[in-house]
Amino acid sequence: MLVLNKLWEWKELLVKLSMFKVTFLSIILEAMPFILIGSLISSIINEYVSEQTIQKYLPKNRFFAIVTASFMGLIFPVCECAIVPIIRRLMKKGIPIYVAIPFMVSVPIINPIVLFSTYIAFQGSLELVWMRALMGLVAAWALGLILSFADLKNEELLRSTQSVVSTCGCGEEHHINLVQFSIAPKRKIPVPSILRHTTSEFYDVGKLLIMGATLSALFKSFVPRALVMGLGQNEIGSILVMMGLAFVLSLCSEADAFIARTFTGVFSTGSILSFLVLGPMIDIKNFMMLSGTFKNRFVTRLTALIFALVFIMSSIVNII
Amino acid sequence: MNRLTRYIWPGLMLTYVFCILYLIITDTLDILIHPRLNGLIYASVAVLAILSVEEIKRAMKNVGSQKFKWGYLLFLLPILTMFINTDTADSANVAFENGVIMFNLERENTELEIDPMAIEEVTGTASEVASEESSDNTPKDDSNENVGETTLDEEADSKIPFEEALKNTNESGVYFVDDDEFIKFIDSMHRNMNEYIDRQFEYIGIVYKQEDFQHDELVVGRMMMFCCAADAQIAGLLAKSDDAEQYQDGDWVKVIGTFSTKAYKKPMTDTSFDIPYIILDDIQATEAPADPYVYFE
Repeated sequence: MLVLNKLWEWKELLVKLSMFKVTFLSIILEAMPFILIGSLISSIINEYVSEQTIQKYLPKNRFFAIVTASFMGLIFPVCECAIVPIIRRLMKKGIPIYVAIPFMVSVPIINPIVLFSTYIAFQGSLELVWMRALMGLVAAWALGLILSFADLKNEELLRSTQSVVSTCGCGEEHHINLVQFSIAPKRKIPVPSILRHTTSEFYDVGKLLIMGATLSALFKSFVPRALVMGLGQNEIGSILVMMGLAFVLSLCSEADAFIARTFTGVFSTGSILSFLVLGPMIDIKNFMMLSGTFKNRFVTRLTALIFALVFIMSSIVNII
Repeated sequence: MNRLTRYIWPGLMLTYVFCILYLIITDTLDILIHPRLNGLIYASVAVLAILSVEEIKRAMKNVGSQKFKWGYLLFLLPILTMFINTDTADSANVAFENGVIMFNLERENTELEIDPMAIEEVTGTASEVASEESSDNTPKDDSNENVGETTLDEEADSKIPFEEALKNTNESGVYFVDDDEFIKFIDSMHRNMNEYIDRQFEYIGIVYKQEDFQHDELVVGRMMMFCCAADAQIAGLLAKSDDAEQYQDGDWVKVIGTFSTKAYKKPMTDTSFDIPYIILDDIQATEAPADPYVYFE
């Protein structure tokens, strides 16, 4: 009997491992092209966009800059996997944190593909689409304003893993004249440099993606759905559970609406919205990737702030 | 040894190239991600190959860091994972954990006011239907009103190939729903319920049961993928069969059934909805299709 029990447990473990493989590999494969795209864009920005250009085109009015950044997803519907290397590069070029973060959290929500998939998933419910978009925007603006008032310097926030000489952030020392590197006119496309930086970014961001995907796949494979469903039976509990789920599942923002749909009728509207808003902004995958870019203290505080903002807005929705 | 360290990272990237090519050649890629992402995957393979070659060139010139990075071990994990044996049942287990979509069959959230001009929302979850029946133990209430008219644009409907094909078939014949039409089939059954009463359909699907289904009820559906296998869910119709108890979650079956509807009374209201319901005339075990997924476009 004991042997049979052990065999059964072993069989169950194998099933869970297989589920882990399917989930894990699918997340990695789906995200990898976007990580590469983001790394490539980041490298191109590094080569062709100077700090002077950033300063020239950045709106002087902080609030206007925050609002503009929050709508960039309508023009550049970048996947949340691609956004981290781009944000890192832009900040190294001088984009302030109070513009970078609203850009980062809003692009995965305020983009036509995500909003349309939300519309389809909820059977033409424009109300839910508007609410998702509005909550995303309000959260982005609130984050931008808070960070603006906090008056944080990029150098204090970014992780410094490279030597002083290497200003481009590729992790290698450049024995070149820094002035020449930053302002020398580019006569031909520096392909080797772009490739080198892309590789470096891909390594830095990719390893964190793998860590996040591992945690997400483990949760999905070993924590039964019935347990999650049972936890969200009251309004506050449902919001907390859905936010936790959004954080752990690390779903693509184009698909999360369909998963959220299956919770309607069991979870409150506010909690469904918290899932739809929090997930694109921050999840395990993004948290890991951000940890490689920013200092741990900032990432932790930012994550807590996002959770708090989404919780407050979701609670208001439930009350209304 | 230090010089060889420079070759680890390009070696890993090249391994990724070969692993992805293996998935493409063995037709396994479509089981993991939506086919619309295939183009991006092919481009990623090319980019990774180029990056690998560039890194190998640098290593041969002794350029770059010789330091072993622990992150290399992380990049090894997906490669090692590929050696875990999986089959269709494992993909199905992932989809089961995401729940079932029966399109308009999902219960509308009572806190949301659905725009009456939007696509109809007329049903509830199968579990609520089952619990309503088991708790109330009342027969179908003839006085129930249908709430939520079908407000589809007829012109839009006529442009949908599946519905056009269905209209052109003999109404007394059995319409076989193939994989490409399955999502449209599920959607159309909900959107045009009254139009298809007593029509017979034949399709292949996977069995899914919820704990609170009646003993003779089951969903026969397909695993529907939106972006990747991690977000796949079961999409199907609630069905009734005297042989339902013989089949368990994950069994593949071929069914022939007659389309019907079932009244569902919304709790604490006097309104009710009709939900799609297939009365199965025949159900047989069958082989799982080569590609168990249907892909949401």
